[in-house]
Amino acid sequence: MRWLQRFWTAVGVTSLAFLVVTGLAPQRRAAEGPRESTADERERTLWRLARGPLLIWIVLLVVLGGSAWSAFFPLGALNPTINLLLAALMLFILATFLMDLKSASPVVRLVASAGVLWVVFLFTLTFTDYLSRRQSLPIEQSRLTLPHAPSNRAGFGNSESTPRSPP
Amino acid sequence: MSDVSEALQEPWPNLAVQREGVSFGIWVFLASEILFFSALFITYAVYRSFNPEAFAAAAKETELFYGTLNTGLLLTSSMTMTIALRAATVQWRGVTLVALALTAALGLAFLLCKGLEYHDDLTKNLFPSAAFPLAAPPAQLFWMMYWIMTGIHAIHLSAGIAVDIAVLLLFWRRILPVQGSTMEGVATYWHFVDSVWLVLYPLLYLVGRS
Repeated sequence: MRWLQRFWTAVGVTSLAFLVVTGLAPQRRAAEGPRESTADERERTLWRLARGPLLIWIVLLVVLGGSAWSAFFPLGALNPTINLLLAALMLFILATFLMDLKSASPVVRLVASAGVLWVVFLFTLTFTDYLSRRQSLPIEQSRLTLPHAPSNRAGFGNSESTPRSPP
Repeated sequence: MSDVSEALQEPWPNLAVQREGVSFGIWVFLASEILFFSALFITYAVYRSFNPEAFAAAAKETELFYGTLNTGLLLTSSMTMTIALRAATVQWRGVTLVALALTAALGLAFLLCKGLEYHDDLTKNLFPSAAFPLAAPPAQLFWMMYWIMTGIHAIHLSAGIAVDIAVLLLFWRRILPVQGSTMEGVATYWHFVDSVWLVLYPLLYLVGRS
């Protein structure tokens, strides 16, 4: 269960970091402009267009390699934690630099952040239930059962075996 | 080069504002998609939290080579898609068309590898059924989630490839002038499909390897 607690903690921390960084990042958008004319200018323009995505691509591949490599070390609960944190890092890089949230308008950043925020709520509310159950019991035994009812049909109105209260 | 104003649609006053609207609209759609995939992720997380050993044993049977190769292919396709968007923004038709074609080719390569992986999985009977080879019953839960999540992702990627090729044809046949407004939604959706795979990869392929 410890890896799950770490997982949704990591989701929460990453989401907050995402909200803060994308909210504070300066707005910058490439200007729409005419095509370059000379060969030299075209070459320079191509390099200017491609160098950012190329750099991000290399970083993402390095992180991917690190994630796959770390999975083979017997680190116990740290294995899924590291893998999920590296996945969150890759998502952050992708969203910020390739999906252009770094230079997006505040309203676009707000909508993108809202999706992530609801995911945090989804995981928090769900695991508030599951992580607070008795962890020694399997899921089917941690279900609510009614007194005097058969354990396998609790609360489903089996008239032959469920005692009725007198009128 | 045709006039870029031909790409302007009602009710936008100019392409910059139209691009902003496209970006806003696609992110609203993606916010709902994030929640759609999160429902699958949380189902996986709950099942795994109650069956950690069976999930680790089941995940060992996935094809790590195909999973890692496919992740690399998608990351590369995100790079070429971003170059296509940047080139379209400065109305560089040639680079935009080549980058879009490369992106579609990388997406198709992903589907091809996925098909080969599915073939290997089915050969080993790794599908919830009476012939399932692993003893622990929750291992079938893992493989059920594997088929559902990768299948839905493949459907999303197929839609992305179709839209990519559609925009490529629109630009190539000069039905639309090359500009960033049209490309914005296509690129953002493509990166989202890539993002979903980045979450699926550690959940399905890296569990139980140590």
